[in-house]
Amino acid sequence: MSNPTYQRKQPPSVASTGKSGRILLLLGVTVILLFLTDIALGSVTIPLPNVLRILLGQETEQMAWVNIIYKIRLPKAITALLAGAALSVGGLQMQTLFRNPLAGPSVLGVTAGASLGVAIVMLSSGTVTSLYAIQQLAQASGWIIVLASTLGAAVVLLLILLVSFRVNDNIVLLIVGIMIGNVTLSLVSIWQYFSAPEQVKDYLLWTFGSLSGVTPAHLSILIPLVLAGLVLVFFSAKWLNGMLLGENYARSLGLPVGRARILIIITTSLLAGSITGFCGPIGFVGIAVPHLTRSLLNTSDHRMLVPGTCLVGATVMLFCDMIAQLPGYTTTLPINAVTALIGSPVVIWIIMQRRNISANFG
Amino acid sequence: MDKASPILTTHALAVGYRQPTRRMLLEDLNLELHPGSLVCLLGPNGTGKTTLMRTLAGMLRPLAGQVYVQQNEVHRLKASQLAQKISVVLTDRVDTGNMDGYSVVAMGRYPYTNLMGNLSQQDQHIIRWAIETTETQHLTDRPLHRLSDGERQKIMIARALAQDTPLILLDEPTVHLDLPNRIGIVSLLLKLVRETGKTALMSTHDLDLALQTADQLWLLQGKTLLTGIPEDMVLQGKLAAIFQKEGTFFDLSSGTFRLQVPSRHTVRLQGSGHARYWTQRSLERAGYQVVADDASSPLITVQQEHGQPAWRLNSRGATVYYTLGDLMEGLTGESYL
Repeated sequence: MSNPTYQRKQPPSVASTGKSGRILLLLGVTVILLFLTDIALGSVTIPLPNVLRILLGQETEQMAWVNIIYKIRLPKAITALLAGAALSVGGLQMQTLFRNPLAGPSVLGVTAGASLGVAIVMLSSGTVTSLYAIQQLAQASGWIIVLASTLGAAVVLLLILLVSFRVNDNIVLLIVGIMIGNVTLSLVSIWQYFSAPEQVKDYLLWTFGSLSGVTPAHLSILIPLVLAGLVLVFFSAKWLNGMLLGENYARSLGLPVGRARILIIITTSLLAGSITGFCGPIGFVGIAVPHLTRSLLNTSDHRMLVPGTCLVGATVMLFCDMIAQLPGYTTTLPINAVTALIGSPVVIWIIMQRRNISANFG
Repeated sequence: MDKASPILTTHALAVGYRQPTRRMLLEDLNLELHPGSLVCLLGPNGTGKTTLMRTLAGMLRPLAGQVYVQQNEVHRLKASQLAQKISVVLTDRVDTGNMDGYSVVAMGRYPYTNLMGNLSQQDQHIIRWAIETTETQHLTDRPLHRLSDGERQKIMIARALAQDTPLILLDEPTVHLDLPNRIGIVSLLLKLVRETGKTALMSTHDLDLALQTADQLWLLQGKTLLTGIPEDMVLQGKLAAIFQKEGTFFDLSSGTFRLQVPSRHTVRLQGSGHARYWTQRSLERAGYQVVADDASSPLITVQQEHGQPAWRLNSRGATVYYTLGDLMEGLTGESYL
């Protein structure tokens, strides 16, 4: 009435929701295709139709393929899916919580905290110490590792959060996070220095990162943990959106800021901690994927970003895994190296393209 | 609700910091805000304007005393209930990334929406009303970070409107804005409180605008707060007492603070209307004191020639000038002779 030029009948968010919805659908299809391709590729290439038939339980003639798929490749592909989604969503949450575009589980020392947790379990002398023993004891000690790495992640995040109450500057906070990560890793180094060589070797192997060390028994722990974390994050999308306005505005909108912050920390520790415990510290996915998703969906709405980040994270991780296993060769590259190799250029590309990243990140 | 009953009251309220050391900024405040009014909070920097605003909004705990909004104590209300009574516009910078204006305004509906924040028909109706009232239609599909400070402020005000609370607290909403934008925002608030019966409390440094628009002024003086309608505050000399600094004086006729220029010379001035007013201003700025009867001082007569002002300077001789600039030059030349 006051302005006749205002013709919009539909709020713009509806229109962009439709577009984002289509992109999400497309991403979902991509994830499924990559998931199948990831299973098909490896030292032995299994044709896609056969992969499908084996997965549907129709073909049992090629017992070798069936074994390869069910014992090795399917768990690994599922792990890649979970790791990609969990680490990316963890990164998204931290970028929103700290309102910092460079936040992420690996930068802010969360993975370092998880590493410390794992090191405590692996390097402390005792019966359940080596990775081998852990894999033998599968489920029981799987819990120990996950608990240790999740607690380690949570401790570091809590420290950073305590600092964030006193420091309002995002850059300062980031530096503090990096320093806390360094302190944590140096504690691990000192511990390694005084540990037996076999234990150190196990720990070092773990730090390279591996998706293939996760057994079906481990998956029975990992899947519910990650799914629970993701569901919690999905339902805190409104809170995350509110946090974008800053804590004061969020509080004035009636959001329980304190509780939201604790929930974000718990879910991030759970997601990043459990994945790190099983797969080793996988870097860069957590920082790069949320940015990639924001550019792709062109939104800051977490109701779109959370599922979007899950799918993009899974896509990136499956892709990295395909490169890591070097199709046709028997060797596998450490996944940590591959994600960094792919993730770093992405981060550089985003920064170059956006220039003013802090105004843009959301 | 009874129209006359205040929307917000404070009882023996003391505000200040607890950290790092307890520091009381204001104490024993017994304030009232009435529906349908625009109140401006004025005070020198660092005297506790923001602290008071944040305490009233329930973001800071009072050092002593209570704040009541519609008879409910602010600090005992649940965050979600408080959010339906008080909305705020803060000085905090917002970095919402790709989020467009509409989405930011829509966040105003958070206290009313479900866990996923889905907007009902009524929510969308109120959002549209908030956007139309603030005349921000052209900003709704632009990302917030591409907006100017003034446009962003308008979006944040629209967001506060969408929150549909009886009380809106605005902490220096006009700071960093140019004059037309400042006037735009204050007149928007004025229109709002008149049309909707909402109450707006706004802290500001804009004495001029506050004097012209506020229904009531809250003046911070030391650790207390003086309240009253602007004109009373002026006539009682309260404004002058608080803001006057060395080198300035409060001009009662114009209601503004003016720079005090030490006068070195005296002149007599004849004439009337706007031309006379601006001539006097220009003279005072240049350090001339206008006197009524001193035959030894030069006499300036403001006159009209072909509808334009002209100035006749009677000193040693008589000269006519057609701009004030020339007149000033002429005067200076004479003074040195």
